[in-house]
Amino acid sequence: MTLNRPPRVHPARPRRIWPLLMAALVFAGWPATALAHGVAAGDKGFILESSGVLLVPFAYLGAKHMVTGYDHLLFLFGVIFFLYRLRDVGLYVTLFAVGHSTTLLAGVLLGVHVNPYMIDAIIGLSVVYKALDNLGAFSRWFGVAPDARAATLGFGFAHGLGLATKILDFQISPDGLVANLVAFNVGVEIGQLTALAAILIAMGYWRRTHSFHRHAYAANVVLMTAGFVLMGYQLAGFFLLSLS
Amino acid sequence: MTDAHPGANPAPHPTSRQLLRSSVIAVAGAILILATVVLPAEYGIDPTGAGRALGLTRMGEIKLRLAREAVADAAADEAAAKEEETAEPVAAPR
Repeated sequence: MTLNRPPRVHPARPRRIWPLLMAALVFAGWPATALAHGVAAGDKGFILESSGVLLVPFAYLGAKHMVTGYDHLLFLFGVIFFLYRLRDVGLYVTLFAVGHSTTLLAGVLLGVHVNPYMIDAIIGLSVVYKALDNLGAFSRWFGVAPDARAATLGFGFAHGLGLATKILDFQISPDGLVANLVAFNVGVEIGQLTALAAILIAMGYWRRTHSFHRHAYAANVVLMTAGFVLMGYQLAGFFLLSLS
Repeated sequence: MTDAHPGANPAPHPTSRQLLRSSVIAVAGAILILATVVLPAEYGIDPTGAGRALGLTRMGEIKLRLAREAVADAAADEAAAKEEETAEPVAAPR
């Protein structure tokens, strides 16, 4: 129960240097926070310094994390790639949201510490999966594709666990925790819808071009490449920094 | 159509061979990007020398050193916090 631990005291080190130290470390891409996309030093400093219910700030942080989180966005991009009807977009995005909200809340409240490198590698894997699914590779190779809805929900769980790990890493105050978490989660959904709107508009224009289906194949191969890069990046971090 | 779900590609499915070739290209592309750019810049691992030439390896080495220091620091904090829970708080040994 990480969160119920009394606040750490550093008698020999004034508390004021922490934000500075964090700034320096995060600026250098501090891999101990294992962020596929670093949350800015200022945000981490803010969370360390604050306690109590802060709904709008936490909603903002959630939205920012999603809009600037390229791993979540790549997956989302893959999921809606061939979804043409708004009803389907709504269904899949809801499944993803239900998945990551569940593990975000449960992960933080139960203090589930998963290795941040491993969870980010799984998020990379989710991008590879979606690219292969879009290419029709599973049905071609195995005769049957995994249920896309179940996979979206399942990888939603993984993405939420990634979010939870990052929040736990911030050593968020137990004071006002639940309200702040819910606010963060609402922010994540707002950020997701904002990003989704932008992706859908761009896709809408792209789909109207005659070359879309030709480019769609190449685009999903590039998406798969990006997923493999994410996996390699995080697995290397796991072996270098978590096992040593 | 074997793909029934609405996210399925409505375009004609590529052949198994074509898909395999594309997957190999994706893996090879990822390895190339990792070896020449990402691993040098993030961890100072530079198997090809490209990272050094691009000036990325130095950044990765600094990051890795800082990360290791941070891990060690966090472990020290953890130990200190445990000690505080059991014993009377005393001045840190540093």
